Amino acid sequence: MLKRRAIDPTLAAGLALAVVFIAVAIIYPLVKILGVAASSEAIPYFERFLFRPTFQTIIARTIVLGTTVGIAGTLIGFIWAFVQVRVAAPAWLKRALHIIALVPSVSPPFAVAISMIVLFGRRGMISYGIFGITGDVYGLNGMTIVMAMSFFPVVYLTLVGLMRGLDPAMEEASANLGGSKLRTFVRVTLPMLAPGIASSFLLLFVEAIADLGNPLTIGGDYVVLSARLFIAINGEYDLMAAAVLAVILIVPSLLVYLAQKYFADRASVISITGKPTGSITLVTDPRVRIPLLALNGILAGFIVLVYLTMLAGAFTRLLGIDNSFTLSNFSYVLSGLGSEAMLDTTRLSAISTVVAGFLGMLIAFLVVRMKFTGKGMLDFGTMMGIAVPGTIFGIGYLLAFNDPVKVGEFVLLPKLTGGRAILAGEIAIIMVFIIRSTPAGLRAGVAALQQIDPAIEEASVSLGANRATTFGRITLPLIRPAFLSGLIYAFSRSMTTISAVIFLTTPETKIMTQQIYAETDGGKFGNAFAYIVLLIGIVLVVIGMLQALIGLATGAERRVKTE
Amino acid sequence: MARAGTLSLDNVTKEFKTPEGRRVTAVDAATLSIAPGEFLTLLGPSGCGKTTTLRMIAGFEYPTRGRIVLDGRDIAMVQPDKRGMAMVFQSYALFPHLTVFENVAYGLRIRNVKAGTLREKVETTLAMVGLEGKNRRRPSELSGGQQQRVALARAMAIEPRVLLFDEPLSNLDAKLRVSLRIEIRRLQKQLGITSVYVTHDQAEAMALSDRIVVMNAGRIEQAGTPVEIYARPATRFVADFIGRANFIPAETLELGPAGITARVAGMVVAGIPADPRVKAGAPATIVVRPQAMAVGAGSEGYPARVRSATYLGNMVEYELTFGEQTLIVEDYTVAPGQVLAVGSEARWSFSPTRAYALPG
Repeated sequence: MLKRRAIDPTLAAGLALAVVFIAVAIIYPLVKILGVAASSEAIPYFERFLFRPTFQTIIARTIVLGTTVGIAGTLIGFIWAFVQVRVAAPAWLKRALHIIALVPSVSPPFAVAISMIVLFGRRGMISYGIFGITGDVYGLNGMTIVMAMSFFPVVYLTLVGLMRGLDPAMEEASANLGGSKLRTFVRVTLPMLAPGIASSFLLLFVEAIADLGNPLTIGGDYVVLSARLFIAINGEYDLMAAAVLAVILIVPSLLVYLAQKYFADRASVISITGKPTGSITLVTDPRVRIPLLALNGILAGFIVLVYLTMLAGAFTRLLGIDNSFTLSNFSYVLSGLGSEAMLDTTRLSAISTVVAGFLGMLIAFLVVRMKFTGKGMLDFGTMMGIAVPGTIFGIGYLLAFNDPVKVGEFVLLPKLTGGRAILAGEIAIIMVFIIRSTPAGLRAGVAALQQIDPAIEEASVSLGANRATTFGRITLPLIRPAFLSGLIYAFSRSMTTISAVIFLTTPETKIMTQQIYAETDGGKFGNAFAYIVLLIGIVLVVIGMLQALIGLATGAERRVKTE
Repeated sequence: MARAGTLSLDNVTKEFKTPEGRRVTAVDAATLSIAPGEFLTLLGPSGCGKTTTLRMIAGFEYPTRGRIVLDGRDIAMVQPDKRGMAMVFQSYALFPHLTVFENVAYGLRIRNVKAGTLREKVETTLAMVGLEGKNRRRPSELSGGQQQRVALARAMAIEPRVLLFDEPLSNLDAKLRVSLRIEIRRLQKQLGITSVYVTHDQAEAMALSDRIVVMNAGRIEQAGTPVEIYARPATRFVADFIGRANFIPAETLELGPAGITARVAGMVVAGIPADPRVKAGAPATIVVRPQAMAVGAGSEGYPARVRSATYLGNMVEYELTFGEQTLIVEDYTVAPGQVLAVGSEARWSFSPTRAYALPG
């Protein structure tokens, strides 16, 4: 595997650890699904799912949903980023818009769906309460709005980075040659952002077809693959059907993921053209500025409204019907089952965050700095953790770990999922949390490491520090911002995910998102909102703690000269 | 002070695989030895294998074949952190998150040096490179020259058995380069550290080195003192790479104790120092430096035509068309207003004792 016998032993151990973990937690469950789906008993299922009109509709709807969410989310993200980078506006306003854009990333995605139902549903506070119409948020439209609102922050952040990285000289050249502002935007700016836009669209597409929480909450009759998959397991208890559906869902997910990676790589080439030579010219023309600011303001207002609804809902009996103030939602949630779920989820997320944070940086280091065959495979294998929809991992884990993994009579791994699983199924949940959040840390780490001259690490090694010491004293401090963002992502992701873990919870181990879903399903929105508020609170507190603990800066930032 | 190391390379070869799967030999059977306290420079054009050789000595690359022996022990496969060497990089490679003091202290901390000794050592080393009082600065607050001094101090502080330099001055401007190279040489002599230095700048190599190793296409072309390399280049490549040279075809007539006698472009010239491989009755190439030539409008010497004349103040540089060849002549004796006209006839000659004959 490694090119040289003179390999640093700690690195070899790190590599072995990463490879084993990826193999067991990601590859093995997927292989299990493929194995089941490739068996002869699966053939009738394929015939049913691929050729019956009902199922063809489900597949078509899944693709339509991915497309609408991709378009809507990219558009919102683009407007938001453009206003942030290119439109003249007061600093406080930009700051506020920036913060509002990040709010959806710390809440469970289907929280927005629940608010939407309360606001715009059949008895919605706005639709029925104000306009007296019976709103219909269930279905494609509702899902598109909710998912676009929930997933756009990642597009926003990507595009802001790309727009800031654009060399203003390009636009100056166009203007210098006589191109109008509009022409410059259409012919120069947009084409340069095209790979980033394409990659954003595809990323949202994958997220949308992988999502489970929203289709269950607000999908209504518009059944998509992930929801159908959920029914196969939780309604029909048919693992074979689930495995076959999973394989059908994997195909578009992986294809789109690969396409997304292709565009993302091209986008990053543009972003490192060097230091901007000029400064970005801001749009001041009121004919462009006012509509854009207004549009962004409306979108931001909508997000604020949605989240205020959650807060209000948590403190009222039944928002829209009985608006009297109460703390009973919290007392319900905080006593018994609720507090257990809260403590379990937080504890399991915290463990996963630490592991995923270090694992992401370790794999990033191996991928960027080391030479070994199979490097690309390690990177791709890790990324499968997010490229493959969470529901599929849920099924994969059930297939792979419901019985002890044995070689002959020797037990390699005890039973990890289902009733009487070891540690009440916590191991499997932690594993899923880790594989779902490591990819983000890996990418952040890779990006950060590529900015660091390898000679800095070589200098440390040449001074007598081994690779492990060098990693600890030099590399990690220098990629601290990436490490921090990896940790924050890991914690928020673990706390808010539902798709992968909903199949893995056991009677002893409860997960908050699953409780929220159960309360919503039972129509107890107050309880659901109380859970959501607590969940967001926990995530924010932990983010604050992580920032204080790790620090936002590396100390390597250029300081202003004092002399 | 540090125990200066004795280093030798024995048939060290490095092969790389290209992404297409082709094998490329970056360093081909390099053999050389470096005495304790010696300053040795690897010199050559980019891609000649000099940096790969240095990185194999440092341990950042491992040779495909061959031995690297430090003080009697083969270290070819030893981890870089276990070699007791230190390297100064082209990009300085300072730890940007640490202060100047902590940068220099880094290697000492790894070695668990006690606080008091450490402080003293760091401060004396910083004083040696002229950076007293900059302890608490960050690298980003220093100029390029100061940053490289910190890097030098950081490497010297651990008293390495071999000090390695990877083009340390090429990111600095010309003036700073000259002053810093004088300083490097002074410190290296004072401390007696065995040093291996990589550069593509021949002036730097000449100024710094006890010995220069000229490399080309993975091979060692010649190893010798600066005088040997310049006055008695072993190959045409070396002659051409170190300074400038005219190559004039000749035929060896006779070998003698004071050099060879040869027929050079129709005239018999005696007393040309020659490479031992030059044989009587065989063709030879006479290497003549531009400043070892004279040119004038008189009647003595070889006839040529002036192709260009560039007045540079301290000299005039001529390009002469001589048969099929273009010769370069540097004339330091010309008075202003006496520059030969372009297109005019001129006669040139050379000083045989300052020329050198190569076989072929």
